[in-house]
Amino acid sequence: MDNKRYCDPELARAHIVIQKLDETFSPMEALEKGTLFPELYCPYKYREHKYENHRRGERQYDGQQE
Amino acid sequence: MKTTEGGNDSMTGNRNRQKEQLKRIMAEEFTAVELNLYLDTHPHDKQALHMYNETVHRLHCLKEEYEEEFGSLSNFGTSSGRYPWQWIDEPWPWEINFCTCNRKGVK
Repeated sequence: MDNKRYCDPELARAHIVIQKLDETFSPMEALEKGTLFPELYCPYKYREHKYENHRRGERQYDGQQE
Repeated sequence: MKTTEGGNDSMTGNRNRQKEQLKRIMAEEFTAVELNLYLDTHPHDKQALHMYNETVHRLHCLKEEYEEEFGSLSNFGTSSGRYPWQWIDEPWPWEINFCTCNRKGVK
């Protein structure tokens, strides 16, 4: 088996940093934010114009006009 | 189907208090789950274990207080019932509409 075939180009690897306990949100704040840990809190920004059609159920497929 | 007798202020105030109590219980339960998940990957973290145990204690107290005032949170197996049987004459916890709950006011 040609080992080089698997190493070059290198396969994708997943790395995560081990979480360390630090400050935590209050229980009520955690419930509202969806996490107890401030370091894990990074909500997606909601963009009104981008998803307007999705909300109305007017999503078009593959850019084709209906 | 259970009905909510609206109209008078004391009833509305009681319902709001019930909502707030339930939300506090949900918040402590969520905190317990979060710490539970953290401890799954950090089983030797004493501080996290301490926080988890404190959360569980607070949760027990809140549930006891809630059930004392508003009736059972579940219908069998977890708490004793009072006379007359209360399960049928309150809104069930999942029937309460939290959308009308003032988010800032509950903290």
